[in-house]
This record gives sequence, C-alpha cells and structure tokens, in this order.
Amino acid sequence: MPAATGVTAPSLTTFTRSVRSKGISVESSTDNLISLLKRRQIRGSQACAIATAYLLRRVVESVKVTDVGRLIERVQQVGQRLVSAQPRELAIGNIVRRVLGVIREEAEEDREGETSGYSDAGTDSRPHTPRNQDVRSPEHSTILSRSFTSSPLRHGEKDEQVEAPGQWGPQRPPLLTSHASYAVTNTAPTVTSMFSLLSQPISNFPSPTTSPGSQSPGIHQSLSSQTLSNITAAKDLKAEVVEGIQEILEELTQADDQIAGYALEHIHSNEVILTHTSSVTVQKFLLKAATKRKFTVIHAEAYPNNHEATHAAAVGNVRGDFDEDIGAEKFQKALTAAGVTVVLIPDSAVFALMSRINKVILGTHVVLANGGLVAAAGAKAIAKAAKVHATPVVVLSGVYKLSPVYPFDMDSLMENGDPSKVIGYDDGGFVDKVKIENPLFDYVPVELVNLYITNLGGHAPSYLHCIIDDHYRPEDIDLDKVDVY
Amino acid sequence: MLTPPPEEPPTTPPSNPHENTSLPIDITQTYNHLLHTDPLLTHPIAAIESLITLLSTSPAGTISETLALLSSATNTLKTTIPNPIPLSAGTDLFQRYIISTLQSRSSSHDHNARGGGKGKRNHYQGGVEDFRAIRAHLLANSRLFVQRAKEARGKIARVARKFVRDGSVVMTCGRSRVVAATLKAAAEEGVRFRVVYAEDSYSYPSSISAGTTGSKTTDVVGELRARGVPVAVIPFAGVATALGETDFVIVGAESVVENGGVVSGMGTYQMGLLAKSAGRPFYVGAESHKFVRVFPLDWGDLPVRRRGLDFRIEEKERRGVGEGEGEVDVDFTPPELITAIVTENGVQTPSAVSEELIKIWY
Amino acid sequence: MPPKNPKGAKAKQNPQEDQREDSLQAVVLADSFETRFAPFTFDRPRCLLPLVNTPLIEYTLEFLANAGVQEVFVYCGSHADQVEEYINDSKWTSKSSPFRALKVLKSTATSVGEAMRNLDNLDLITGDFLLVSGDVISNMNLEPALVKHRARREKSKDAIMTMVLRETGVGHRTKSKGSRPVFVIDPVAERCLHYEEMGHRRGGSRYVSLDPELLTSHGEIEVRDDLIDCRIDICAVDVLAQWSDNFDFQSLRKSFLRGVLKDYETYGKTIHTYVVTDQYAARVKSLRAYDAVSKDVLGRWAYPICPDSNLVRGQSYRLGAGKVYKEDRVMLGRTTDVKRSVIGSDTRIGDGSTITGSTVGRGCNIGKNVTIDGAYIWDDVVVEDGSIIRQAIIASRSSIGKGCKIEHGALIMFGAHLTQDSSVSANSWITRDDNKDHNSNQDSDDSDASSVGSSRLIYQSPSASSSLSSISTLASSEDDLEPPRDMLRRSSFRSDPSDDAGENRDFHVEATASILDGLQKNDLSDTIMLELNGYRMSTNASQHEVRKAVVAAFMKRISNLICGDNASGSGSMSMREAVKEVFTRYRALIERTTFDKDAEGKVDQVDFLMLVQKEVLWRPNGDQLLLFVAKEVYDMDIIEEDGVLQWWDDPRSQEGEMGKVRELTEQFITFLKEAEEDEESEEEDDDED
Repeated sequence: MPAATGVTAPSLTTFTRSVRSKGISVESSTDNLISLLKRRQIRGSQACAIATAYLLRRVVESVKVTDVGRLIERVQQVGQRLVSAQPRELAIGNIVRRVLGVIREEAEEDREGETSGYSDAGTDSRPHTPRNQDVRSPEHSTILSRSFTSSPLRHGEKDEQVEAPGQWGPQRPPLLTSHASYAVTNTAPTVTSMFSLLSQPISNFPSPTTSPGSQSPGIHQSLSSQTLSNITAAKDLKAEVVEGIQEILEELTQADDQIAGYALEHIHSNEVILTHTSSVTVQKFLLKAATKRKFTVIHAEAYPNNHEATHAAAVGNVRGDFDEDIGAEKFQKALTAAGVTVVLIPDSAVFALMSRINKVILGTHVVLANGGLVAAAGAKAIAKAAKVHATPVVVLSGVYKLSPVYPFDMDSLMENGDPSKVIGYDDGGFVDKVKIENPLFDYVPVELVNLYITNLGGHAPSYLHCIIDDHYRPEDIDLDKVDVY
Repeated sequence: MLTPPPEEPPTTPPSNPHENTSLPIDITQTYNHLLHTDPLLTHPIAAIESLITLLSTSPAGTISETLALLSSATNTLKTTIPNPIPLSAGTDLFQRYIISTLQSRSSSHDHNARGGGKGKRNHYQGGVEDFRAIRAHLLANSRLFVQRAKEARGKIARVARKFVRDGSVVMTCGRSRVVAATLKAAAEEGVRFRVVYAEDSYSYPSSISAGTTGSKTTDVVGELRARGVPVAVIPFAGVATALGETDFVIVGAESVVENGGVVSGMGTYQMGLLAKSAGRPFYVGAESHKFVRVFPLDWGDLPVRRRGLDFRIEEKERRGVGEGEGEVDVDFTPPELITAIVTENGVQTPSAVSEELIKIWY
Repeated sequence: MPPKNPKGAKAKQNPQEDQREDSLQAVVLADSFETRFAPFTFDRPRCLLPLVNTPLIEYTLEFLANAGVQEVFVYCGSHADQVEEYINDSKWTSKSSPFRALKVLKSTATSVGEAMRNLDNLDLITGDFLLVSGDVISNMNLEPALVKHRARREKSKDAIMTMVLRETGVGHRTKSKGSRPVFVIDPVAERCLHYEEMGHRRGGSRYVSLDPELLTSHGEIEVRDDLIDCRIDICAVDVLAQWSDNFDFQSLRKSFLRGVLKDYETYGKTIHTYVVTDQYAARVKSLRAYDAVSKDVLGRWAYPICPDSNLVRGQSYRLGAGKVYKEDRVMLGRTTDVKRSVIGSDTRIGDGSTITGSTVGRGCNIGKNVTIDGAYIWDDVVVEDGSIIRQAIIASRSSIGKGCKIEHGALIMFGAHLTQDSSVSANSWITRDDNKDHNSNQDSDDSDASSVGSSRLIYQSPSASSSLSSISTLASSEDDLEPPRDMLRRSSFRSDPSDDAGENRDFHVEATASILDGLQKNDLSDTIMLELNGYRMSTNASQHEVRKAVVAAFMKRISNLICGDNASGSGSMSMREAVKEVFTRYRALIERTTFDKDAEGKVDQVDFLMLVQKEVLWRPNGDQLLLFVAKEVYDMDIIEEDGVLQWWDDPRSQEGEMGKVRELTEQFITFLKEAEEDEESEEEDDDED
C-alpha cells in the first residue's frame, strides 16, 4: 500500500535518522526532540542521553561562528529547553553538562595551544592530550578532569591576562602543559571553594584601582562566555568537540558492556542473586557472570509497569525496561540457556525470600548527587528488605546516569504513570469511584545501597561525589541559570 | 580597609608561654572587638580580619618573619578564646592561603622561566615579590573578604531554600544566621511552610552562634512571624514529639570538622539523634570557611573549654546568664547523623568535607 | 477522485524515495456540526474550548502526531477564523511541526456529509487517511490498526474503512448515556456488519434488527454495545467517493456507515473494526463527556497526555503534592487548600479557599474562602470572596461576585458577570446578553433579578420545567444531546433580533422545550396541547408565538429522528419518514393553532409555513426539509392549497436566504399549480430521495 512504510510512529530510531539529515534544521530537530520527550516516545535514561548527544552534536556542527562563548551559549540554550521538556529524565541534563565540559576543555586546550604555539607548533601536540581517555579509563579521567578544573587562582590570572592583551604569552601561568604542575593542580578543584574567599582580587592586584564591582563574579564564572568569546577558537575546535561528543555517544552505547565487565568480580558461584525489572544493564551483567559461574537469579516481576518485559527477560528476550528500542540488541541468550537457575517471583514475595539471598542487584533510572537513586517502583521495598536482612545491595549504573542534581524535591522527580496498568480503563465503576495511582519510580536513599558499579568500576556510595566532580564542570551544574526565552 | 579598633590596646604582650614573637596589638581584643561591632561577622572571618589588622600594624618583614608572627597570633587567639575551633578555621585558611599562593606562584614563575626561555630570576626573589604583592592584596581587600563571607550566607540560603517545599514543616533551633536567611528567603519566595522552633529554656550564654550581641533566641521567630510564617515554639524537651509532624530539620553550625561532623550550639546533637531515629532528614547550613581541620570522635575530643557535668550533693541555685564565662556550651554532632551539609558551593555529603580540607592542606 | 497510488506492496522497499506518497494524511473535523457545546460554541468553536486548560484540538493534533501523520487538514465550519488563527499561531504550523503540512479548510458545510463531499472535490487526499473529529483525546498507538487496514486493502480494495473502537465495560463514565451505539461485528474478518444506535429512554429503539442472512453467512457474529466509538476512522480514498455518490449521507455513522453496510450487496464495500482493549481513547462530544474526560486526564489515564507533559508551547505544569498540577507563578494563600486540581499560571487564590478536583485556568483571581468543587474554570475569571462553585463550567473572562452560589451543572458564559450574592441554580446557564429588554420571569430569585438590571445580564433558567432536566450538563444522567439548548441557540441567538423584538422569548424557550419533550415521550397531542395552552395563558403569549414554538419543536424532533446521531433516542429515518411521522401523529397541534380554515386570507397558515421556512434556514438540508414539510402538510390537509400558494406568493418568503431555501419546493408549487388545472395526482417526491 502506498502509505505502508512511511508511517512509523516516531521513536529514537526515527529521531536519530532525522537529526542526521541535513535537510532538517537544527531548530526543528530540537523541537522535534522536545515533543518526542514530552510524548514519552523517547524515554529511559539511555535513549534520552543518546538523543541528546545526537542533537547536541548537530547543534555544535551547525553553529557557524567559531566563537567558544557563543557555542557554549547555544548548547546551554538547547540543553535548557530539553531539560525543561522532560525534567524527570536527568540523563538529558547530564549529557548537556558533559558536552559543555567538552567544549570548555577544548577551548582551554586551544588557548593552551595558542600560547604554546609561541614555542612549538600547537596542533601536533593535540593527539597527546589525554582527553579521549576520559571515557575509558577512570584513573585518567580523574586526573584529567581535576586538572582541567584547575585552580581559581589560575583562572583569575587568566582573566587578567585577557584584559591586558599585551601580556599574552610569556607570562601565562601554566595549566596543563607542564606535568610538573600536576602536583599543585591536582589538589585544585575544591580548594576553589575554600580559597575563593580570599583569592580572587589577586587577579586585579596589579591595578590597585580595582572597583568593588569586579569582585562579584564567582570564581567559577571566570571562564565565562564573555571571556571566552574574546578568544576565537582555532579552526578545528568544532571538530574536536564533535569528536568529544562522539566519544560520549560511544560511552553511552558501551556502558552496559563495560559494567558487565565487572560482573565476575561481584557474582560468585552458587550465589543467589535477586534482581528486579528487565533492565538491560542487569541482564548483561548477569549473562556475563553466567559465562563462568553457576548461580541462581531470583527475578521480581515488577508488576505492573514492567512485568511483561521481565517475564520476557526471564526467558531471554530482553526488550529493555524503559529503555526500549535502544541499540536493538537481540543479543539475548536466555540466562537459563547459560545455565543459570531463574526463579520468577511476585514483588510481594521479596521480603520473604530475602533471607536466602546473597546479593541484590538493581538497575536504576538515575543516580543523584547525594548517592540516592531513582529506580523502577518497587526498588525501595527491595532495598529496604535487603537492609533488614543485611543483604548487600549493588546498583548498576552507567556514569551517564549519574546526575549532579541534588534531590531537593523528590516529588518532582517521581513520575506517575498510566493507571490503566493497574486497573483497566474498561472497569467503569472502579474508575469512577477509586483513585488509581501508578508511580513509575521509587527513590532509594543512599543508605540502602552498598555498592555502585559504573562503567568506571565499583564505588562506595560516598565516593560518588568524586565521580560527579570529575565529570561535570561546577559552572555547568546549575543549568537553570541560563535564560532561554 | 578595616578601621582599627578605636582604643588602641595597650601594648602589653600577652603572657603566653607559646609566644616567641611579641605582637604589636592585642589580637584577642581585636578579635572580640570585631565580633562585637559587627554582629553579622562569623568567627573565622573575625579571626582573618584580626590577622590582617595585625599584618597592617606590623612592618613588612621577610616571609618567615611574617609567618612566625601570624602563627604566634593564632596561638594567642586559640588559647584565650574559650572555643577556638571556629576561629581556627579562619586562621588556618589564612595561613594556608598565603603559603599555597606563594608555592603556586613560584612554580608559575618557574614555568614561565622555562617556557619563555628568559628571565632567569631565582625562586626566592620571585617569592619575595609575590609575598609583597599578596600582603598588599590582603591588606587592601579585607572589607571584601568580610563581604564575601556574608554573601556566602546568601548563597547558602538560595541553595537551602530549595529544601523548603510548599506545605512543609521545618524544625530548627539556635540562632544560626544561615538558617534564618534560608527561612526568610523561602518566606519571601512565597513558599507556604511552617516552622517548629526548639527554644532553649536554659539559656546558654555564649553559645550557639557567635557574634550574637545578646539578641534573644526568638529573634528568628519574630522575623519569620513578621513575614507571615507560622512558627511554633517548643521547648527542647518536646523535640522528639514534634518531630512526628516535621518534614526535616535544618540547623546552623559553628564549625564543620574534618570527618563531616559539626560543632554547634548545645542541643543540636540531641536533635540530630532524634531526627535520625524519626527518619527525618537533618541538614546543616555552614559556609565553607567554617571547615576546620580537627578530627574529634566525640564531644570529649573537642579542644574547647567546656562546661563539665556539675555533679553536686547540695542544692545550688541555677547558674544565671553571664555566669560561667569562658566556658562554652557546644556539642558535637557526628557525621552519620547529618544528611547533608549546605555550603555556598552546593549541597555536600559530610564525607566531602575532608576532601575539601585535604585539598588546602596537601 | 484522485488516482490511488498503484504501486502496492512494492513501495515498501524504498520508503525514502516515495515519502510524498507514503505520507499518512489526516482530516480533522474541527466542527462537529452539532450544538452540544452550546452555549459556549456561540463565541468559540468547540475545538478551541479548553479541556484541562488545553484547547481540545491540541489533543487531537497530538494524537495525530503520535500516530506519525504527516499531512493534516483541519476542516472548520463555524468560527473558522478563530481556528485558523489559533493553528497558525501554534507549534503545529511552526517549522518544527511534526506535520509536513497542515491546512485549515474553511467551509460553509453544515454537516459531515457536506464537508466530506467538499473535501472530495478539493482533491487533496491522495491515499489512506485518518478521519477524526477535533475533539479526540487518545494515547493510542495506531500502528497495528494501520497495518491491519493496509493488509486488508491489499487483499481487497473494497475494505474501505477501519473504525477504531475502544472496548469498555458497561456503564463507563465516558460513554454516552443518551444513545448507545451497537456494532454487529464479524470477529474473524473484523468486519462491521450492522450498526444501530439504541436509546435509553422511552421512544428510543430497543431492538437491533438484523438481516437474517447475516446469521447464516457468518460463522460467528458479535453484537456489542460495550464499545466507545471515538470516531477514529482509517479511511481509504474511496470513502470520499462514497460520500460523493450518496448525497443524502449526512452523518458519519447514522447515514454513512449504515448506508455503506446496507449497500454491501450492491457495491461490496466493507467496513472493518479494530477494537482496542488497553490504551485510552475518548471523544469530548458533550459536556458530560467533557467532565468525564477532564477527570480522566487528571487521573492520568491518557498518560502521557497529562498536564505535566506540557504538550502545548508555553505550558509549565508540574505535579506537586496533593496531586495538584501547578504552573509557574501560581500564588496560593497560606491557608488555601488545593487538592487534585490543575491551576494555570498567574492565578492567585486567596486564604481559606478550598479547591478540589477542579481546573482553574490562567490569570484567574480567586478570593478568600471560596469553595470550588469539581468545577471547570477557564481563563481570566474573577471569583470574589466567599463564593461556592460546584461542578459548573465558568467560561473565560467572567466574574463572580461575592458570596455567589453556583450549583452543579450551571454554565457561566464568556464575559458574564454575577453580582454579589447571586445564586445560580443547578443546570441553568448565564450569559452576557446585549438585548436588554428580556427579563427573566421564571425562577430567578430577587437577587438575580437585580443583577439583570444592573449588569446587563440575562438570566435564563429553563430548568424550571422538569421536562428540561436534560439541559443538565454535568451531573445529569439524561442525555448527551440537549435538544432544548439547541432551540435556545436558535431562538435567542440566531434569529434576527429585529424579528424577535417584542417576543416573549422565555415563553418560546419554555414552550418549545415542553413540546419537544412531549414529542419525544410520545405523549398524546392533547396532553401537549393542554400543557401548551396553560402555559400560553400564564405568559400571555400570542398564537403566533405558540405556532413558532410548535414549529421549532417539530423541526427539532424531525432532525432528531433523521440524524439520530445525536441520539435523542430513536433510530435514523429518512427525512420523508420523519416528517411524515411527526406530522401525522401531531397534526392536531398545528390544526389547533391555525384558525383560518374557512377564511379567505389564510393568515395563520401562511404564518405557519413562514415559520417553518425560517426554521429550516438553519438546518442541514433545510431546502429538502421544507419541501417535505410543505408536501406533507398539504397532503394531510393541514394546510390548504390556498394557504400554500399564498405563502409562496408572500414577498417575505422570497427574500434572500428565505428565497434560497425554498428553491427545491418550487417544483412542488409548480405541481400544485398544474394540479389545480389538471386535477391530477402525482408522485413527485421520488426524485427527491
């Protein structure tokens, strides 16, 4: 039939296809994504993150001016709109912040390149910059991001340098070029906060006539767009940023496999593992472990929002929890086929069985700055039961799900789903008389979690804030600051 | 620039055994005077101000002379003030700032010397120049520091205000200006919330928040009520009961110690314990300059002159206000009772405090 | 008819290349050609009325975007300019619109049938298309239905339409209580075999008459009345041709569906059904459904179509504690209690007010100690202190004075003002009226009367008569269609004001309603007459007014019988049957209001026909109706030949619109004139069918 194929309901797949086509303007791609998010046609952390990354890549590519300030501003604007379109998908904001971080980092490197270009050709030093490893090796990224966060004093000085262009070059303070300075810079990022009290005007000290007004910008804004706009980036900045986004995308698709890589360290033979929902991350993790070990998986069915997928997962047909249709990996070999004993239980049986369980492994929707997590409804009950029985709770989460947002208002992060999953809409009498609620998420407080496993490895919950520090620039944490309209 | 105290203190060197350099001014008196004249000043800032005043009255010497001068003044302060923990946050920060700035600047010169291939200045010279510059900067900007410290409070209020949701019931105690600013900010925002204020029936004189010039405990209460926020005032004995109707607790702190615990007005610990057992979040608002490098495990470890338990076998009239001068009524709330610490840099977990501190010390 | 894309299944291979042809089109009927949302629809088209603070059409377009529709035609009748303006301003026509094209088609069509025929002429539809009305709310995934439809089309070109139906249990709140559609379905072929509408009340048909052949020719058939018909149809282009071929098709279901099914033997066209069992679909077809669907949206049944999805540009709803959706900049008093409600931005609500299960629009100002329970308050409404509002609809820009009491089912029109301490009784409505000279003499307490004078209000309270309980909008369980309201619409708003001047409008409203009710209940004409006479005496109405009411009621009844769509109970009849039915049964009513049988100048008879003519002006196919009525009254000898001819020659009946509407009747008159000469009797009406 004529209309046979043209009409597919919009989804992540259609979006990623359309965002790549040059025929569609960035503006309409943005609006398109916004409506997809609002209509929940793209949902789930991974799908949202991927869509955001694709869109931002397109945004970066399309920005005509090669001016860093404008670029940052543009990404902030788009990011802000996406975030407000679907404030509960924190992964969107995470990716926006990551991309902003990439841009800032590239901009800094560029300036670095320019100044060091005095002595040697700047461009060929680029391959040595360890930025790319950010994604892959935790140790490296830690060092790196710490170093790029740098000391406030330095930023301060930079400000001054920019204001007095005559002093460019020779007097620039060292940033990343000197390995010798690592010792100092390494300690820098949070010193920021404490020393900032005393520090900043030092940048102005050569000109004692400093007006009191100059004190106001916080240290974090020292790399403000205004400053940056003075520096027109090198030609390849855009390409670098796009490459950076590409790496984020790779990270997004690889995260699950990377997490699964740690499976053998955590799952031992003959253990009894409890899990919940059909999270792809968890399934891959368990499958990986099943390659070497024999163990038992008790699967809570996650009624009513995810039980069908969970049932399917039990027989090796993972469709993903909320993260449907990403990757479209039909990699599945059933756990049972891998020699794992799978037991499916209703959620209500969790407590009763908990005493026999060695480990609880949960997937999550998002991990918050305080280490608490927003996971599929039912997760809290499981975590709480585990606490009572002193069963360790392990949470699997890609770094992209780790959000620097502090959960001030839990309610606003919880989403209420479709009540017809609980009671069919056809039951007229019921619907009229009884209010039906179907929350999709649970907030699991940090004290119920024993271990987080991200694609960087296992972390104690109290260590999460370090990973957050490493991945997000403090100046980007509050995206709301940007005025969009 | 801060005007020096009106009456120039007599230059009697305090008879402190630790002393090895004589101080040009009475640092303790300067400190107390500062606190007295500006009720909004925090202890650490007052300490920093005092040290700057000291620097301004002493001739610029070598780096090591100055450092020695500063450390002796610090010691004097620490020994004469009953609760030296808050002020030591300030003095430590000041000292570390000077040292690490010198270090980093010298390394920067170092680098430039290498990178630019010119200007073979020696380290020490560069250091001296920088030191003068730093000193000049510090002297010129002391007002600014005070102002920043106060701005920090505003920033905390802006962050912590988000905890106060429409319809929530907030419990607090003490006279923390951070908490007061937070609640006022929320009230001005139009958030509809109520406050349970635990009042100290037994008035502790010099406790809770520094710099409060004899203001009544109910200052916060009055201010909130003036803004239309319903406040219930309860005695401390009623905290456990009232917690049932409370959504969360927020308190201020005098100091935040290295393990993330806080030193705060008497009663805070108790409230923390009760909040924990009632399952209510317990937030602490504190500027990051209140972070201090001490590591107490419990109240007994606190390096303060504290009022011990007064066991008696005969009746005695209750001690009135003003009595027991030189003793402080603070307690120590261990980190495990604290949900989060709100600083001007955002909301942090208690475990993040040590990292901040480590970063300025190492 | 545009040529269909002949490629068939092969086209699947390269979707990119044929995107043009592949695109799914949709036709939105923004005008329902009904009056159920009167009186709101006098000022605003139905599709722009807000449901949970979002114009209805947004939901429909959202649904279409969800289904992956590429091209949309919005078909407007009344208030087309407003619709066009709204749409041109919305995200749907912006560059980033999910639709490749969105066209607003303005037309003067007065029925679905005309609209469809018009559409066929325009030649816009190139392939399969979705036909929905502008008031559908659904989160349905249409893909499976489309796939099935296409599969069927591939097998047979005669499968021209798939109706998407939502299964529900018995007695559901979104279901129409007035009439229940009954679908007879072959579950194997998913084919609709028969369609009937059944009424609850007396007079409505209670039987489904099946062609016995159906039973023998189908292995299995289902007779279902548990399906909500949301009027979501997947149509092939042939559907338009069907409409064009059958000029008498007026409504979607009653005439089109039944017509096509009836002609199955002849043309072999089949119509299929797709029954949805999960997901949400509803149509805001009446005020009662408005209430039910609002509740559903608040209860998140249409998830993700919820207020906090902020589907419309500029919305900023967040779901907070107590299931309250609030936009930014909502100011609540400290002791304001809000539960399960939606509140738009810039609205302030004073201390001590309680709001439960309600929707409050943007920019409203609600005073202190106001109680609002289950009400729908649109934008920019002012409610002063101490008022109580129960399940009512308060339209935009109206204001409610202090201490008012508004009972359930009341409707407050755009821009109306209620003065202090007024009270509005259940199921009545208040409108701003510029004709000052009408006063309420019914059932309005003193305070209201005063408000009429001072604030140029007209307060109409038709609920005085118990027969009018069906005016009830929200709480009434009676009917979706409120026939009396329709009359109100015509009498008080559509009629030429000069014409109406001096008439006792309230009499007309009341009398019409009462007659109609009698007609619907199949009361004896004597009973109706008795009531009417009593009423006439008490209000001192003229015979002309009585006639006018009778005519109005008759016409309404006839149109109900024809387009039973609106379901006042009975099945559909052809126009001729309907006219005959009504006039035969109630001829006495006319006879007793015309007193000039023996007079030379047939003033009353002329007046009667004139009234009929005026009445049909506003009706779909009025010209046909006029012809049938004229013929019928003549045949039955209610009106004599002289009367008819005198009417025909009356200059009043020849002017402008009036002239147009009687064009069809001309042949009848010619026939009469000839008959006068030839004394022949003739069957003329055959060509009319």
